[in-house]
Amino acid sequence: MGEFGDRLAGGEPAAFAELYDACADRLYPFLVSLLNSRTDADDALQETFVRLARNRAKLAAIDNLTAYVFTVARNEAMRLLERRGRLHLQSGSEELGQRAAACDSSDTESLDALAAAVAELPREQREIVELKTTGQLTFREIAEVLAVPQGTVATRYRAALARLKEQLTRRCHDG
Amino acid sequence: MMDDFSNELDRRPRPMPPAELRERVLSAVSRELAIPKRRKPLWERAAEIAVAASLVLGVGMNVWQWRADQAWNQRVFGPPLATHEFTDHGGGIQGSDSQLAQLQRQRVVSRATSWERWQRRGQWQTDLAIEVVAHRGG
Repeated sequence: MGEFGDRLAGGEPAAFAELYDACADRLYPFLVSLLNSRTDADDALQETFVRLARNRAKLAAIDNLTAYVFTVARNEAMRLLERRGRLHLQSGSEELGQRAAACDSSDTESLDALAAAVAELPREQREIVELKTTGQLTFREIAEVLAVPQGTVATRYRAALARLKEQLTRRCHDG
Repeated sequence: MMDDFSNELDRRPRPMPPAELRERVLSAVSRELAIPKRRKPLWERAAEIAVAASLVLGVGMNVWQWRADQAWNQRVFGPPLATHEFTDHGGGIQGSDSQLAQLQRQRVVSRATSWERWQRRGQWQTDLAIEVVAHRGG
């Protein structure tokens, strides 16, 4: 991380632009999934980067910058949910829910169904699924972001996959 | 099987950040970077230094006072020979075991002598203290 961390800590705007380009495509879907709103995800992403810039002195000493950025983003999302009194919302992306489809021959629709099933997962499991798939983080990094043991992350991930399968199978049968 | 399913998850349609968001975020970052770092006002730093200095001074003065008291006590009363508990105990056993009481007095005398040799203080102080202990013990 060394040199890049130093550039960030030195307050170099180009370094923050590089960080944005490297992380935004992975951070944004994670934030949309947590917040169930694109507008809120926009705000959370902006706040994440502003916070990183404000506390830039720490960045030179961070070992895993990706995990750190995801941690800050998650904290921002939680703060936003708390401010809006929605912290205990467990699931339900309206957007995805409307697109939920029954088991279908069309690949796009089955992926939509999968996305809808993910949106219905409990938050603890949904976070892990999103961090693993859209965030491309390792279990170790996810454990760091969520501040839980790595074994817990793996267990929750497996439980989430099992639940998703069950939901999709049920949809197929119902549909 | 699980891996296949993970691959399916990876293929989900995912929302991408809108192009204008990049500009918005980086502008906000630039504004944040432009804010000069807040330095503590002079009075705040002066107050912190004053508190730290007074703590150090307080501890130092306590140590100095304690040492001065010790020196004054030794100058006036001589070195401590035996504790009150020790002499009281000596007096207590005198009635029941005079030999043991005698032995105890000898130990006090030997300790007093070694103290006296070590500190090279006036002999009269040590002798007086030994007599007091011996009298109280006997």
